[in-house]
Amino acid sequence: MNTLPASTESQPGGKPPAGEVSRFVRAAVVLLIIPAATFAVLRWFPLEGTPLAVTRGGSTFPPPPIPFEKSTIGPEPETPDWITNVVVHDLDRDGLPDVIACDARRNCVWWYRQTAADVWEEFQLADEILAPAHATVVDLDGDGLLDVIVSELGSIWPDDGVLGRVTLLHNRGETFQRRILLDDVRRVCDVQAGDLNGDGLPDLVVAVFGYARGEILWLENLGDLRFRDHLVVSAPGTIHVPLADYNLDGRLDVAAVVSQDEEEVLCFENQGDGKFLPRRIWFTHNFDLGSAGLVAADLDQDGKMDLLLPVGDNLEDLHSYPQPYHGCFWLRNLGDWNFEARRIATFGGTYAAAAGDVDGDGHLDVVLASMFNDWDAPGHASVVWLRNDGEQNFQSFQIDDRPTHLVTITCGDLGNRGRDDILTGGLHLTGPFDRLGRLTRWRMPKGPSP
Amino acid sequence: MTARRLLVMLVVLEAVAAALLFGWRIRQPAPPALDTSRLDTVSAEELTKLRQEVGIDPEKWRALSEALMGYGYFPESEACYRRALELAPDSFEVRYGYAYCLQRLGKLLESIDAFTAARDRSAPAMQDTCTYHIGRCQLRLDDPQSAETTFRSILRFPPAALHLSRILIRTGRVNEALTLLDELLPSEFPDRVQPLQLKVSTQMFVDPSAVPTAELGRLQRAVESLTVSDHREFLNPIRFQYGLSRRVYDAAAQQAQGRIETAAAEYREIFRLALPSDRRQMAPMLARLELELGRPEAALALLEDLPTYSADTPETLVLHGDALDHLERRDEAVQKWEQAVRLHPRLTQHGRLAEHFEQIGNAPLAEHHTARALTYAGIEAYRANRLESAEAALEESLVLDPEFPLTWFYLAECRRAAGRLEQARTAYQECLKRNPDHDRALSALRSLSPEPQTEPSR
Repeated sequence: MNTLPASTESQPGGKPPAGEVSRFVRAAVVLLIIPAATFAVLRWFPLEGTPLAVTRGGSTFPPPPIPFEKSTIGPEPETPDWITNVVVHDLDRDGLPDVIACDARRNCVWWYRQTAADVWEEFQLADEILAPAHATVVDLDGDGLLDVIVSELGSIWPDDGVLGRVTLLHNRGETFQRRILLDDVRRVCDVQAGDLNGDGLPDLVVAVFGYARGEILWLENLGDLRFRDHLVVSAPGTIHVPLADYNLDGRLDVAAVVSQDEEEVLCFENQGDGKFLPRRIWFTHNFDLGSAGLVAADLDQDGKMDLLLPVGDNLEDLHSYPQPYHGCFWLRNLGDWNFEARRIATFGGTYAAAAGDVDGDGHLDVVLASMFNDWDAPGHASVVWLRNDGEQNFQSFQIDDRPTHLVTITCGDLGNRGRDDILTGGLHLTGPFDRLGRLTRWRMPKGPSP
Repeated sequence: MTARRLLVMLVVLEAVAAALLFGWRIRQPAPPALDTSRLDTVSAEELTKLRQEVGIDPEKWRALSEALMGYGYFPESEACYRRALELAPDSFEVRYGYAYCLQRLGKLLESIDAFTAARDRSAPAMQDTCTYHIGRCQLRLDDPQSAETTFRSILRFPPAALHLSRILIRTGRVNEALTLLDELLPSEFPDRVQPLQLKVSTQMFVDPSAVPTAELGRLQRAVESLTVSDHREFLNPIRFQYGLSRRVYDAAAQQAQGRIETAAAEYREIFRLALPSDRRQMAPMLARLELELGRPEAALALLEDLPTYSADTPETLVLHGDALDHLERRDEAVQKWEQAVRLHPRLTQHGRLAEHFEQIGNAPLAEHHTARALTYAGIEAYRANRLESAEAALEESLVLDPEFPLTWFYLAECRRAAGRLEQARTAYQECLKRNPDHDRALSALRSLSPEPQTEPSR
């Protein structure tokens, strides 16, 4: 059987006929088509195999027995807000708790005044406050009107510059007059008030966080709103300085959480006459723990003031990610300057803690907020409730997974219901920006405690 | 067999081989799914492309892993690094990146193993770095004994010495730590912030009644920091290879070469595409450039829009004032400069106001702002340890305004740092005459007196 067409037969003289050459070329082309096409297609062919498994480090918790009611105070966020601190306090002493919020994006302090049950009016207490970090409500001059002391960071971003200030918003009845109490210091993170030297006047303790350099100061109240600053210790990264009589000797002592590679909780025992004896009551070698705050709360209600230590700050990292050691410690005061540290939650990116009776059962619960959970995957918790069974066994419940990036949390009975509301503030410095929050409130609905 | 049959068989064989090849390819592990919604569109497209083109090329898997880490997708990056390791088990870059990623994920034991493996394949220059990271992982595991051994093996690596000092302090060996900080650190890196801060904190903790005044002064004037964590140093260069960050890098290069217009055009486009979180940093930079190019309207538009997504700072307010000034809206410009002073008084804003009041012939206000500008210039120079220029600026300021206590205080600090103690004492006293509650001046004055200090003060 002749399989080749006649035209391809050899021509005289040994040269292949033109048709044979053509067939050869066609055959070669046919043979090359598949490898070439395979190569070309395969090169751009997406891998459609099984996607590699990914292990995520974010934290989730079971939902609470009863879903919490959620609402906002103040306007809904339209753009990423930078609320750094929320405080519940009856600023005008009208019997209805108000809310004070520090807003670092607008460089101001807001007062949400509750004029009737759940009716809120917004006032700007002060503007031109450079990155306010904390507001402390106290009657500093003893005139019966509550003043507000603002800790000015100067920059929300890590910065070792001398940018901080302590600013008093002096309540004059109709207005709040601004007065600088301290400047020429690095970034100020917290100010607490209390009579440290027993002269009947509230003194101030200042946490100068700074960055690589920082310090703790106490400002001696000389009267007439004059203060003299004294160095307590030079240490970088002091976040909060809660005051309490930790050793029950009748004098207010200073507790302080020092972060920035130190990761320790210090107490300064007030020995009177402006003398403070430093005591390191807790530390870890884990420089990356990310201490994020310190809250004084007598959690077991034994009369000795305990401390809550939320840990999970990674703001200085280019990208923060929840770590297995993030969460919250309860530093239980055993007396005589002995504190027992107990982890009560493991929760990625924990940035703030507060104590309150959320379910109205008479026991102090703990609520936590996360700034840096794993927000790339949905469902990771941003607010968690640690329910206290009365024996200080804490059961964790996920109240919500949004808004994300919560940097501050507080508890307060905003509706005088006998149950504390939970209030958070959103600090949306980094993405994702799809679950924004400003001032968000949750509360357990009416009904029996679960 | 005829040629045609042979051809058909070959084609069939090829088709089978191609099908097998496709099948094999399809069975290859794919990179994990990626939610790019938090990225700008340019970066998202580039990451998606990297992900699609990764194939079975180990280098492409490494590049993808690295890029994912650079953008903070640590879990996805870890998965890709695992694949890259399968394809290139002997690559130092892959092992180091993998170890780094594990560290960021808090998988510390695995990270130690990975850094150890990376060190075994490392060039000598990177061996200490690997060891340092192992020590830091051990600290994060709260294992100071292992960390101490690790850091002692690389004491020539300054950050390791700092960590070791802290371990010694925490484990009750304060004197050894102070000796290490005193004897080792100054020869390696004198007057760097962290060692000095650690030394001062420790001294004050051990003996709160003795304020180390001289060290506190040195600490204030220390200008260099020790790089203890290389997180940004490691990840930023990765970011600059991709997306808008790369375009910023390229635009900056054009700007450096003097092609300002081209750079500005590119910055504008980048700004348009950027997320608010990135615009925050770009807006002042672009506004400054627009002012340089004589486009104050464009600069003004950028600065007016800034508070809708970020915070005003003293720097942006000064720029805002500058833009208004270029547009001959001087009154509004002055308001912005004054606002900048109220937010945070500094050399620049006082300087602008001094010029303005001089131009309008208001001599008292011009003198006031000039004096303040000089004071803040002096303070900046003092903190940068440039004592002579600091003193000169502060003295000049006092000629114009001798009543500002801060000027006297920093003049005293300069003189004390220079060892002129009598002159320092005089200046502290002048400061206290004007502000009797200036405790740092009180404390410094006490430290200059022969009597021992009795109270901790600032």
